[in-house]
Amino acid sequence: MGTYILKRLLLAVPTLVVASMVIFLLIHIAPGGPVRVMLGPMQDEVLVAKLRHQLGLDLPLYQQYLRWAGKALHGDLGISVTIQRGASVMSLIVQRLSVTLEVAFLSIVVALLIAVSTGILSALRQNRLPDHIARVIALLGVSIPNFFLGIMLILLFGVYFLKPWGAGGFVPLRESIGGNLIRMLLPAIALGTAYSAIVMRMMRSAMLDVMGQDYVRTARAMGIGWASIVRKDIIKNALIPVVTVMGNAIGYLLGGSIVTETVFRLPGVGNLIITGVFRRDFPVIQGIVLTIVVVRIVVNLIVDLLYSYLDPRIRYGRGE
Amino acid sequence: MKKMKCLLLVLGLGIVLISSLAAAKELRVGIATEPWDLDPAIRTDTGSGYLIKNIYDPLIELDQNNEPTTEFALCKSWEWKNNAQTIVLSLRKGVRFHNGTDFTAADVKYNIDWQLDPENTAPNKGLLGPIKSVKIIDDYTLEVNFTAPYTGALQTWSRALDGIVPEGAHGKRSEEKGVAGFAGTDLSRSPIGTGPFKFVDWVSGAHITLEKFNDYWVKGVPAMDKVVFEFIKNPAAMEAALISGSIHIVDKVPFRDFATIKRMPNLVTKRIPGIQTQLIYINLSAPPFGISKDQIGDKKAIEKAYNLRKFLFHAIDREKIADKIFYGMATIQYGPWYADSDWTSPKLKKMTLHDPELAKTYLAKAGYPKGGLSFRMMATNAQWFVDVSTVIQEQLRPYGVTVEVIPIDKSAFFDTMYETVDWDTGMEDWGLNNFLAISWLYSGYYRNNHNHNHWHHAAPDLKKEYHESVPGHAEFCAMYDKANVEPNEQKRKEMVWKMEEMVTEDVIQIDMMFLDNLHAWRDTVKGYGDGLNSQGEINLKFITEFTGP
Amino acid sequence: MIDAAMNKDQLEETKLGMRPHRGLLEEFWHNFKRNKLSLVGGVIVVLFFILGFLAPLLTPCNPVKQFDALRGEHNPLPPLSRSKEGHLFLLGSDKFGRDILARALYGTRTLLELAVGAIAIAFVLGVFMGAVAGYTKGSWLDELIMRAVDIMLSFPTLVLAIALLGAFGIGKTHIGPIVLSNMVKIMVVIAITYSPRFARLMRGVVLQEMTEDYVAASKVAGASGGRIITREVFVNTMPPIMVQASLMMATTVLTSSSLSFLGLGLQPPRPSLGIMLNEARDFLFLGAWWYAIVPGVFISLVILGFNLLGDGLRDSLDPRQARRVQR
Repeated sequence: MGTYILKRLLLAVPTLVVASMVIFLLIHIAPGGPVRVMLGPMQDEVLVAKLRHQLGLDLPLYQQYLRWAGKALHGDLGISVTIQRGASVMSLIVQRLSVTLEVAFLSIVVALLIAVSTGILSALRQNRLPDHIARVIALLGVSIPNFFLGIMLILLFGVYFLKPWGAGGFVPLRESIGGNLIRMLLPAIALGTAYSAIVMRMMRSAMLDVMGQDYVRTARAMGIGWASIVRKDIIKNALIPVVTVMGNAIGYLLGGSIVTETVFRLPGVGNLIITGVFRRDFPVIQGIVLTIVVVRIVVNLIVDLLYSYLDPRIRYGRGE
Repeated sequence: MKKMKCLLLVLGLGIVLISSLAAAKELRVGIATEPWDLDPAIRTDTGSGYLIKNIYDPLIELDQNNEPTTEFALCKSWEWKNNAQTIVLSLRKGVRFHNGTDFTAADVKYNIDWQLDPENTAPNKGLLGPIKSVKIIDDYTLEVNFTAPYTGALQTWSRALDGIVPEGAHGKRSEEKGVAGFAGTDLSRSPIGTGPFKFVDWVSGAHITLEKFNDYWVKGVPAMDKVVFEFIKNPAAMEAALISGSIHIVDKVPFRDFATIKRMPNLVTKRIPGIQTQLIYINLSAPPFGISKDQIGDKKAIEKAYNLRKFLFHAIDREKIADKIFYGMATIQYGPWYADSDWTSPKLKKMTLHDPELAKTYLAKAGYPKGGLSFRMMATNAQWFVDVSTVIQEQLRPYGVTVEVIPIDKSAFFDTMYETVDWDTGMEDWGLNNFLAISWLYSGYYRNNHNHNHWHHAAPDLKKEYHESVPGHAEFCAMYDKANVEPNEQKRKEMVWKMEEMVTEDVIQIDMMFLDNLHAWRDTVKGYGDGLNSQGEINLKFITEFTGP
Repeated sequence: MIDAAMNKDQLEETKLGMRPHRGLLEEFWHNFKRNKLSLVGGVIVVLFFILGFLAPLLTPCNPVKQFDALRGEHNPLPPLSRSKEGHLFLLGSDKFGRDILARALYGTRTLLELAVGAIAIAFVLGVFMGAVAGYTKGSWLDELIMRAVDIMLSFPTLVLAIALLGAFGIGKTHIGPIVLSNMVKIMVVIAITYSPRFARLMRGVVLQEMTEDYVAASKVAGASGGRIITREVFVNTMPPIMVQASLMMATTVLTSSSLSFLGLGLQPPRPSLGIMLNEARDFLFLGAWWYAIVPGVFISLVILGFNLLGDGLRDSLDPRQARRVQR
């Protein structure tokens, strides 16, 4: 197990490094730099040259990369060029990251609540009506794009029922916990539904698999009620594939939150990166992509370690 | 013991009452764009303007007719001398800055000098006028001398000096990060003014908080203890917030929703003709609407470009655009200036704008009798610009003309426009807050470099990256120079008319319409409407009473 | 045999091809025809392809034509209203007075074009990379390709697509003399984001196939390496790949409509279902529900179709997955 952990850690580092190189290059391939910011009608060529120099855009590419990477390691992701002149990208991200993480976390909570319960129910009542209904809803959940679901939720709660929290918007936690959470309800549902559908199906099929195992049949034959079997062995074993999907979930959620934040106008990093793309604020785009990739790699690592803990085959080493 | 309990109860109630009153005195304003910079000398965006209006006081203010006034301004009175080449300002006494220091003439001099200093690359330097010297006569009297008569000083200063800062407050431009001219000053995130509100904090992406400045020199202002400017990009959310009462004032109401909002209880609306002109910039230094470097002097190319511009001018149906996009709440322009002003040429007022037959004729003359012309229109991807371009795109399709609409970020728009000739047309707007027709002609057309439409003439000062484009610019500039120093108003007016005719008949730029400003606020905010002017600003100084929560 | 360095993705995916013997293909088709889900999915997909393909014939009018509203009314108009010119808006009009049905039809067309193009490119790229990696298992080439795949997969797809589009800008891009239209750019971007999945799957499946008896037999019989891959192995690796391709179509449609919803997709006035949804947001409070519901339903049905198809294909491939458990 120890070697496995070490191996995974070592694997993560070069992945991170190369990913950062890709992110860096990404912005520099295309023509049209971040040089000009609106000064109104009065612009000056001397200024443009000054800006280029100060942003280091006149240095050779590899030097620019080292500079950028070095600063990033110290938590300095550069300065926003167009979104908020002079503001540090790191501070912009930090201000907003909590919002994105809150939505992602709440989506997972909502999703798991729905998925695990309906997954178990579905497996237990296999092929009966509840199972069919659940599977249809799961299918719809995966097929309806989260932005359309979000808009439909707004139509329902914001327009039809005229709930003020139904139109999106954000209230910081320190201002009002209730206000904050109620506004997270619809985004969490919109974002979490697709993930919930996937998990539900996984849960259901994993449970069916386990339920079909000999030892379960034996227990049933011995007269042990479903209740106690389900609680202990089945769920624990069925959770293994669920955990494995979690790793991917973070990737999906971080990407999906970009769209959800746009629909519900939440001030998260997703919204910020879109603004960055439209305003050609390259430091912001780079900073956010880097953050997302780092978060994802870290989460993947944790999930892998968790998975290896759960799966005895790996826990006790390979080929021993 | 009972007495104690009673006392505590009363105290408790008192606290609750007071704190609820205190909470009730927080005004919340919704604005669509997050400000860029709170230093009045370097900001150029509207978002910042909303904050600056309330954190600072201007040297001179404009009333609802856009005439100079001293209401809420730091200047008490003024006197012109020396044939409009000198102005002596009398400043208010007893005004304090938020940092406790007193306001004196030295501060005003600092404000002017700082912007004049080329090192500081202040964007509004040109609006200060041709200043020769600024002299402090005494603590509350300032004398400004110009190199040439500058009668428009007060109008242009209402913008250039719309926020007076304490001496030395700009501090240093941050050298290590960002760039001079782009980097902030000390004031950018920590503004200090004389206005009714003091800066408290700025949470990026969320809001800016201001609090009452108790030492404000106008008694009774402000009427509330706290103001929070919330950034709400989406109009629907902004409206929802206004309707539910979580926002008291919005900066603008979308045109499509104005009729609905007007009908709602507890809301007050006001519609004021505004200063935002919707225009189409035309690249005159490249075909199809201009000429390229190797076409200089080529009469045929010049003629063709001219015909295509005339086609564009007459093919666009401005009324339809006003109706479709702005629900009729706009004023069509007949030339660069306001149609009802006597500074607009009478000849232009009689012009026919939308004329399909005429348009077809010009198109045929240009060599496209059956269509086949294709060009690009870039449009800022905010508000309605892409929509207007889309309507124009569809209006030109029946002529066989294909328009490629390119949504682009605002800064990239101006990037492209100034830095390259790789664009054909651009749709944007401009807030005419310099209030003089001749001033707008200057900003829009005069400079031989960094000209919106790349309209240049051969001259020693023309930078090498530009080239001489369609004819007329030299004559225009000469006309402007004469008009600028012409003391007789009627003569100057006629010269302005000539210049307007020139740029309109040659279609150097297409100025389509001025939009109305649509305001809405809750009825618990009293007096706000009196402070609204054509500039669409949010002026909280006029609020007499705030009974909200 | 389970390589501990493989992660959960690969485990899941190799399970699919776990019954390798000849006749897999025959078994597959047999199962597919019986499976109700996949038939429904197939019908939906075919229906939308027909709608998209025949859009120019089925459309009630030009999708970019802007009609005027009657006096006193204003666009967007609800379904079954008429324009000033007398045109009947079957599914309503958008804010410019354009027919929503027409735009939805053309929008479907572009959406499917984009998805098919993107998957085709991703398929070619990914399968090639995966096959090479699988065949040269253990070599530096294999390592290089798989590391590259790992890195690509560490970027969430939408984020990568957005970053790439952010770098290249929206609208036509000029690379030297070549002009890439927006459509092609998005296709390429999506293809790049999805090819790693194909690569990884292909490699896993190829490795699986390579352990089969018939491969060893071929080797003994003297057939050259290339022919082993291209003939038997390739044919047998196709079923799981096709399942993946179908499921990928669903995600590709989702990603590309998300991109156009965010404003990063096709530019006006080209009809696009994602953009219609974005435009609709401003009009929800004015009651223009059709503006959002029509494009949303179109997109959802297309994705649903591909999901059903893919699910059905997967179930047909490995009946064990669809096995019923006796209580």
